[in-house]
Amino acid sequence: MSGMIIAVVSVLQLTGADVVISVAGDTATVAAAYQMRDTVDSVRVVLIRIPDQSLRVIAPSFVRPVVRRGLYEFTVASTARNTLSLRYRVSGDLRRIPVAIPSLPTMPGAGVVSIVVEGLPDSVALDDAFPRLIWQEAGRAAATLDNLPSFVRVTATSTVFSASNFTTVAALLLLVGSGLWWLRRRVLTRSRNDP
Amino acid sequence: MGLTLPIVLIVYFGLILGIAIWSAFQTKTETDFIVAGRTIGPLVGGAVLAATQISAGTVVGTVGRHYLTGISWWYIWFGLWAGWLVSAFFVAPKLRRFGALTVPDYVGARFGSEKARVLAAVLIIISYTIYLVAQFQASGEIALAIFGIEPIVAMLILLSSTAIYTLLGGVRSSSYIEFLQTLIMVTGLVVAVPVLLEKAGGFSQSVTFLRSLDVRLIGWYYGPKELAAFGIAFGLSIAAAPYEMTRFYSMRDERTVRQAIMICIGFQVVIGLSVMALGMLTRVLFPNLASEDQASSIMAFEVLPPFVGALLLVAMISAIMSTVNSILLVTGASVAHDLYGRFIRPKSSQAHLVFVNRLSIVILAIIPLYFALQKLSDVQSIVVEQTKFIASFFFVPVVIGLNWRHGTAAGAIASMIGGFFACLIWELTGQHGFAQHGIDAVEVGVATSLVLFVVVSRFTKRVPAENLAVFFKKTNGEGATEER
Repeated sequence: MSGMIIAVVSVLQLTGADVVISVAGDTATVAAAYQMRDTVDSVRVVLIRIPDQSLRVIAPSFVRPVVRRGLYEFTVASTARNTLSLRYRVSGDLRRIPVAIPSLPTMPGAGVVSIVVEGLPDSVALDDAFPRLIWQEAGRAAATLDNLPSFVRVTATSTVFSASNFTTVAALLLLVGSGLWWLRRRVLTRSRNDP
Repeated sequence: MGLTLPIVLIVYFGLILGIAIWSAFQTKTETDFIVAGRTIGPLVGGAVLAATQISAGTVVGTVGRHYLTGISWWYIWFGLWAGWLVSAFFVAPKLRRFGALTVPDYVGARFGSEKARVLAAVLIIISYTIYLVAQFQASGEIALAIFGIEPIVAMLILLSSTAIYTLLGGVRSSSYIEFLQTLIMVTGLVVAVPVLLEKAGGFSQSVTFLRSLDVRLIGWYYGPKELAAFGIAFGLSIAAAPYEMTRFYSMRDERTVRQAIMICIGFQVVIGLSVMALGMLTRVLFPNLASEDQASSIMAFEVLPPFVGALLLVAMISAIMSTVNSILLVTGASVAHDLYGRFIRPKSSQAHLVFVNRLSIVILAIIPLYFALQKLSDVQSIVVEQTKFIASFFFVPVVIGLNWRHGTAAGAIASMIGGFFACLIWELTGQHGFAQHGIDAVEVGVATSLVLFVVVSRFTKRVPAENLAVFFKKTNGEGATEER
C-alpha cells in the first residue's frame, strides 16, 4: 500500500488569509496577508500565470519570481507571529487576477479565507464570478471561503446568456428530456407487448 | 446556494419516496423483494449496474484522487471495463440462466455444497460491511464540507433514508430509484465539466498550470505497475461482484443482461471522463485543499451555478445511497435467504423471510457506522482494499467455476479461504515492498485462489452432473460436461 498513502503537502496549515485586490484601469494591486498555525522559516508560494498578463512583486521587494510556463513561483520568509505578507501588481488582461497560494493547506473550517475586490465598475456582473463574490458597496465585492482560490474572476457585463444560466437550463432539459424519453419508451414497449 | 439546494433535495427525496411506496405495493413474495419479479429491462438494468458500481469511492474518492494525482488514475477504468466484459461474456448470462435469488445460491448449487454456500455468504457479509464503512465516511465528509453538520448526523440521515426505500420495495424500488440516480449523476457530472473548464480559463491554460504545478499531474503520478495492480483489482472484483451479480437475476433474460452491461459501460465511460476532468479542474481552481476528499463537495458548493451544484450534491448523495442500498440488499439476503432460510428455519413462510431480510438490513446497516466514525483511512483506500479482498476470494469460484466444469466443492472452499488469507497476509507483509517488486495483494490473492481451486479440484470428489447441467448446458454423465 505504499503507493496508496499520500501525504497532504505538509502538517503546517494556514489559519487565515486576507486578500485585497484593488483594480484601477488595466492594473490590479493585490495585498495578501496569511496567518499560519506554526512557526516556519519560509514558504513556497505559487501564482497561476495567465496569458497576456504581467506580474511584478512589490513586497517583499527583493523577491524575483521564477517564471514557469503556467505559474510564477518564489519563496518568502515569514515575518513575526507566523504571518506572511505579500504585495504584487498585475497588469494586462484582468479577467482573472491571480491569488498567491502558499504551499500549505488551509485549516478545515468555515471562512478562514477573505477576499475583497475594490474598484470594480458598476457594469461588472457577479453571476459568473469566481469565487462567489457579493457586493458590499458600490465598486467593492467580497467573498469568504474555506480555501484559497488560484485566481479571482469577474466578467465584464451582465447577460441572460451567462454560462451559469446556460448550464442550468441545459441540466434541466437533459434531466426532464431523458426522463420523458424513457417514459415514452416504456409506454411503447408495454403497448407492443400487450396481447 | 440559497433555497436551490433545499428545493432540489425535497424534490429528489419526494420522487424517491413515491417510487418506494409504489414498489411496496408491487412486492408480495421473496422473489419480488430480492429480484423484482425478474422484470427489469436493459436500460434500467444498465443504469442500475452503473449506479451500483459508482459509489462514494467515485464521486468523492476518485474525484479526490484525480485532484491529488492527476490524470494517471483514470487508466484503472480500463481494468474495470475489462471486468465488465468478462462478466458480460462469461458470467452474467450463465447466472441469469440459472435464475437464483442470491450469489451464495449459485455457489451452493454449482458446487453442490452447503458449506461452500455458507462460506460465500459469510465472506460477502464481512467484506461488504467494510465497503459500507467507506460509504458512510464519504457522507460524513460531504456533510461536514457543505452543511457543517456532524458526520454522525449525516450518516444517520443517509442510513435511514436509504433503509426506508430498501425496506419498502426491495430490488424493484431500488432499480427504478437507481435509474433516476444514474440520470442525475450523469447530468450533474457532464454539465459541471464545461462550467469548470470555462471558469479555469480553458483546456490549454489548465493543462499548462497543472504541468507547472507538478509535471506528474498530467503524466505518470502512478507507475504502470501500480496502475495495473489497481486496474486488475477492480476488474477482477467487478467480474465477480456479488452486489452486481444479484442484479443480473432481476433482469428479464440473458440477452437483457448483456445489453445492460454494455449500457452500463457507456454510462461509466461518461462518468469516468467527467470525474477525471472535475478532479483536475478543481485542482486548478483550488490548488491546496486540506483534504482531497473535499474536492467534489467544494467544487459543487463554491464553483458551480446553484442548480448544477445542487444537482451534483444530489448526485453524490445518490451514488452513496445506491451503493449502500445494493450492499444492504446483498448482505440482507445473505443472512435471511442463505443462512436463516436454509439452516435456522428452513420451513419459513415467504412473508417471514421478507421480514427477516428487512430486519437483517437494519442490523447490518448499523454496524459500519461505528467504524466510519473512527475514520481509519481515506474513502478511496477503503474501497480499493475491499475490492482486493472480494476479487481474491470470489473471482475464481465465480468466473472459473462457471467456465471450468472440473471445479469441485472442496476446490471452491479452498480457493475462497486461500484467496482471502493470501490477500490478507500479503497486505500485512509483502505489500510494504510493492514499489520494489510490484506485486499487489490482489494478484497474490487471486493466484493463490486459482492454484488451490485447480489443485484441490483435481484430487477431490466431482460435482454431480445435475448440479452442472444448468451452467454447462450439455452433460455426458458422471459430472463431466461440455459447453454446447
